[in-house]
Amino acid sequence: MTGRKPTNEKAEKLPLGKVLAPIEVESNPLKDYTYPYKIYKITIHLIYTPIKKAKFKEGIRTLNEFLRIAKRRGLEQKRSDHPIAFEARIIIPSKVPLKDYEIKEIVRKYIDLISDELFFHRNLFKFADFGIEVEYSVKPGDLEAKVIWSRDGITFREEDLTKYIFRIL
Amino acid sequence: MIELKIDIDKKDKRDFMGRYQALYRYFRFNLVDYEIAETRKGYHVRLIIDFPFRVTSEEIVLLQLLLGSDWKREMLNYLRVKNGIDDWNKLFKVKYRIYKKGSKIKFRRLSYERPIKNKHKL
Repeated sequence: MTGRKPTNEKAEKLPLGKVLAPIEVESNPLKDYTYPYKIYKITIHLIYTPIKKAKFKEGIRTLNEFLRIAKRRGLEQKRSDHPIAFEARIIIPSKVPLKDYEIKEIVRKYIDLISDELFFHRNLFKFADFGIEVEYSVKPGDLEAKVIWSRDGITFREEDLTKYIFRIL
Repeated sequence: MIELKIDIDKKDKRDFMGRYQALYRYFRFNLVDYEIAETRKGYHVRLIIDFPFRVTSEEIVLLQLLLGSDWKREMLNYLRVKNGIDDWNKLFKVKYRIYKKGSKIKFRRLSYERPIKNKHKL
């Protein structure tokens, strides 16, 4: 059996570095030395996935039933399938690179802080992910902690937790 | 000067090459810096580009999409931009899943970036 030849044979041989460098630019190998400060941006986020059936304590069987009761009580939700539900961010500038376990401990304490200061239950974070971004800077930068959430996917609320963050660091 | 963060979810680089070449041919921008890292599924590409014209946040999302970034990520980025959330363009170096074991909070690593050993032999 003769297979079809790949049509883009030339592109396959072309190195990606060559394609990406039409003006002969290399990424800076001295980045670590020229930018002394590393800014760690940690984001905890919860991407909402719609559920058909949920376990409620009060004998409600479905999410729609729950929404109907909520509507009757004047707590109307505009949407039941909003895609971004919750995002918590913390920005930590550091002169020394942070270790993995240090970042994990910060996240653990930040989750405690959010559940203490705001009304989010700790169990909410069971469904969350968190990611780390590292940026290089010449300035020390500021600490920052924010929580953004939406209950309907249309209006977003923001809470600044920077003043509490010194408690955990 | 703008930063494009592209999340490619496949190991085949031909598609990205074609898209990048076409974009360069049409817009003739200046590439100031770039960084490519390999992930479990594909690549993370960060490009710092000097465009000859002004580019809005929505257009950055469009450009990332044109360069073959993960459509789900770009959809969420667009939603963040539309709702006025600052710092919307995210591309994580390391990503963890949070789970609970008893009362303790634990983490499981989902993906991480590793440098490509020999960039030119890619």
